[in-house]
Amino acid sequence: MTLNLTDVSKSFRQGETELRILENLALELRSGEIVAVIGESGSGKSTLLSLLAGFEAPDRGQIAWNGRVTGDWGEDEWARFRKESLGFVFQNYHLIPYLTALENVALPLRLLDQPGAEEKAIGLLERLGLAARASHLPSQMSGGEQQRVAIARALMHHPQLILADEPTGSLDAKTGQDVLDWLFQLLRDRKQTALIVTHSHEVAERCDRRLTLRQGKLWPAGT
Amino acid sequence: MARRNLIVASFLRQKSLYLLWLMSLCVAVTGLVVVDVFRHSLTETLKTQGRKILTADVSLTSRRTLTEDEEKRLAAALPANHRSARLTEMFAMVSAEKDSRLAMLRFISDDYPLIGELTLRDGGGAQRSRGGRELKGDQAILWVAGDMLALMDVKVGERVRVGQLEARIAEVIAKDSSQTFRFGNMAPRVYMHRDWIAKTGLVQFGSPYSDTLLAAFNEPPPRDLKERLEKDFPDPGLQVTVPADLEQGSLRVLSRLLDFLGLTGLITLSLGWIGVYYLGRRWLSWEATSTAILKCLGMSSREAQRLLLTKLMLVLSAGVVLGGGLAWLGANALLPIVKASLPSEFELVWSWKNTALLLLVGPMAGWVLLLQSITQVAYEKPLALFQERSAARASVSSLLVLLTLASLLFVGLTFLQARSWKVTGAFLGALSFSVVLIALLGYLSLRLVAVYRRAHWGWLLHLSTALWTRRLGTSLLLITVSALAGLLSQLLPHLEKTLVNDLRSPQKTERPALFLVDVQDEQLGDVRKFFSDNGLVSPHQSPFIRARILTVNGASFERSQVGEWSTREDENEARFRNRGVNLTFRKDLSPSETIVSGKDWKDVSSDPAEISVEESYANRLGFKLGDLLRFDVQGLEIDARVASLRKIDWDSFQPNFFIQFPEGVLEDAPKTWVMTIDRKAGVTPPQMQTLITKRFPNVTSINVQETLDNISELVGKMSTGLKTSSRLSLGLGVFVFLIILMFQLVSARRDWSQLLVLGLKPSQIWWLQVVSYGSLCLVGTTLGGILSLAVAWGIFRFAFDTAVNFDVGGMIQIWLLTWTAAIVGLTWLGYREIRRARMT
Repeated sequence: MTLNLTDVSKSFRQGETELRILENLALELRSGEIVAVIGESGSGKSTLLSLLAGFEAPDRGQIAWNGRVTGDWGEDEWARFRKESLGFVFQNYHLIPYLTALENVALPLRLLDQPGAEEKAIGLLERLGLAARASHLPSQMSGGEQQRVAIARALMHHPQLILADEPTGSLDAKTGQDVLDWLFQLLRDRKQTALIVTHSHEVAERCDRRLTLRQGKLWPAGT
Repeated sequence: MARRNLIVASFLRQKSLYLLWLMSLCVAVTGLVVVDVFRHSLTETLKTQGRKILTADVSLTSRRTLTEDEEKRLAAALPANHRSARLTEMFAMVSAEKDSRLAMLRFISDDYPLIGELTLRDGGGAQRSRGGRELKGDQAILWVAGDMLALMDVKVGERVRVGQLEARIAEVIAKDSSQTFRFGNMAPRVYMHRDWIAKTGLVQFGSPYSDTLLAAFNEPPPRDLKERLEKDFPDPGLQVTVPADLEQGSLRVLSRLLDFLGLTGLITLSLGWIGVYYLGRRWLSWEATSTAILKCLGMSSREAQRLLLTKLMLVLSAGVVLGGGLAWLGANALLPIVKASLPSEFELVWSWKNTALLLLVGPMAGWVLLLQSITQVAYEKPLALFQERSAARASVSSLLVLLTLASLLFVGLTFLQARSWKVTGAFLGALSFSVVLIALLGYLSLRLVAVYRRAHWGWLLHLSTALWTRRLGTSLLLITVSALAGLLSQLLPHLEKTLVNDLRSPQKTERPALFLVDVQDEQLGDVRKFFSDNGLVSPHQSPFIRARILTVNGASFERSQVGEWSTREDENEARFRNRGVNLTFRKDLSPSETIVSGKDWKDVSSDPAEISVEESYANRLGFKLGDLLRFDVQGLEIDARVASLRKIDWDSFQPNFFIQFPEGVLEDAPKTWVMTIDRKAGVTPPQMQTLITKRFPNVTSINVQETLDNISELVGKMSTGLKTSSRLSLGLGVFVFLIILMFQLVSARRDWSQLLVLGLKPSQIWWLQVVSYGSLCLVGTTLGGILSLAVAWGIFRFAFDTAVNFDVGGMIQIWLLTWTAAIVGLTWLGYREIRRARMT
């Protein structure tokens, strides 16, 4: 899997003012690599994730997945791409409230109409130590448990890339540490490519590469 | 598969929201659909029973005796193998030894009824089906309705007098398939053979009766039969009737009630829709996150939209199925109560039109109300999940589109209920005005509170006023919902009291005891002398001349047709055009008449003739001041110009006419007289009736009080229906109020928690909730109450032209009931939320 962002720019209008969020940004992501993007609030981290997931289109520049330029992709192509190739982990877990842990985890495979979704989901929940919570609704679980379920859901269909947005941002230190252990263990075991947006240097330290988003561009951390 | 699981899981795990949604819609549609079920069942009954009610496939009716030539022409115009019969109907007095009663006399020929049956019960109780031939004989015999025997205290076999003829009661009518509610309880039926008409002496010149030729066919009649016969008989004084026409004529009385109930049902529906829309928005705010997650998992916007629409349609369909079921059960439960007012063969049927209405007010309305919001959620970029930007809010233009679509749907529904643009306009105008006024007053009050709110106020007032003014939209919605429910339910006591009081008002004691019709011109002297000899006072006596309008300003006054989709105004116009006209002449106006435009009555000329026309009659038929009308008065053509328009107090029960001539034009025209007789101490109206009928058997006397009692009974039945309907509105209003409140309390759960943390006791928080939200309900219901006074005044001032009798006591009772229900609900919901807040 390769991901290339070349000279990507994105701005938003706020009344009369134009906010330039990303400015000629470049990024190359290689297969199996775990990259951390560190940035202050409002630096454009979420915009970057939105561009990578196809929820926003760049004003200028191009994004290429495995050499395919995405500029002319329509909504259906992006939807198919997200379904097959992307996995998301959010800061606030964002599990579907009316589905049980098991159903949430099995959902990506169900949407792909792949057989054996439940069995595979059970396997993953067992691995994450959540087998006893399989039939519980998100509202009946703790934050750490919900985030582990969210991680399982993101990895369930073996996506090409995991996009994680502050995966431990809503958790206390101990629980956050546990969740990170689970996340990195799974990512490493599966040689999974991931881009993790975070404030936390501790999270960033565990990644293969660290980039800082500043003034609309990505810089190697520490520069 | 995944989508189905998502839908099922969502229904099962968020059942409280869906159940509330379901209930709102279910209750909202029930009232309207019950009315609709009755309406269509009546139409269907008359369609299927129409031939039995008419007792024929076609009839030709006139308010005079049909000629032999007309009989021959009709026979020639119909298929050769048709069967025929004849019927003459009139109101007349039937007298026994002790008592005289008004009856609907039906003189029938041998083959009557051609279709349907007349089942009779003899003195021994045995029942059998009979025809006119069995009334024939050397001796005059009668078949009478059962209530006639009770009213006159006579038995089968005894003799009674009909006009100048003595006849024996042979049998009692057990079942008459031609009986509809058309004549209501005005007078019981009495059957006699046509051979005896002349001997009764009742059909004299100018007597009010109808003569009908009936025909039935062995094969289905041609579709254009009515049109063809109307061409063959162009005289507007001749009425061609086929079974389908009974839908319009017979339904008239009940249609009014059903129209009114339908309109109150629409208010219930609109309250329900507010609930459905509010819950829909709540549902979408929950679904927004799930939809965003699903889109991250690869669902396209179109698929997300389809998923949301499927859920919406399933909920709304389930709501209308339940509502339809409840309506069906409700209609069946109501049937025994209203059965007496319905045709004997009436059966409740579920029509496709009921299903169409359900689909229109459920899924269709939901689609209109929520499609835009659903599309917005489905196509929204899930940026909120990445915490950068909040989801877009509905724009003003999209709200305007939504409002326009919902208004169009509501206008359509109102017209379907009222079938009158005038009523639709008045109803929607009044409703829109009320809603705008309520919202405006509510808004101004809350703005005023916001301006005068002070920081040093106590915590209770401080927090309550903050809740009202900082959540302005919700506060206004709560006020509007409670005000609308309050308006409708508090309006009813005024309507009922005014209608009933008007019928029994002590100020109307000048109303006569009896109203006499069919006094022959040559009898007038004798009648006056008889009154004088017996101490009876007849203050009003008016000549009664039957005529037809031939032309208006030279244009033919044609028969106007009505079809299935005609408006009430079309039906009224057709009815008035086709029924001929009764004229009178007088020197001075009666006390119950007032000229509203045109020449003063004392200035009108008799050469050329200048006439005065009753205002609403003129409006209905499009007559204006200065129009030239040509009348056919018993074969003589007379021209007259409309010189003035009058208002008449019909409630006075004085002889009044739609068209009135000055003296000097119609004196020589053949005429009868109508008279009134004042009350007399020590003599009851029935005693007076007996006295007059014995001396003048051809004269028909109507007991005014008895008629008023019948009307009063009808008003009672109407008010039962209206009460049920308004209670439903009230209940739904409180329900919607509590739903909105429940979500407000839930969304404020963190606030309650914080107040607990800050040291408020649960009882203080409960008190805060009651003061904050209870007072909004109080303001709403009070506004509704005040508006109900204004609306009641408007209805009686402009629609009934009479003064309203406000029932303040009844209004306060309902106001208290509404408020108590809201407070009880609020107490329970508040207690629940405080308990949950303690655990948060």
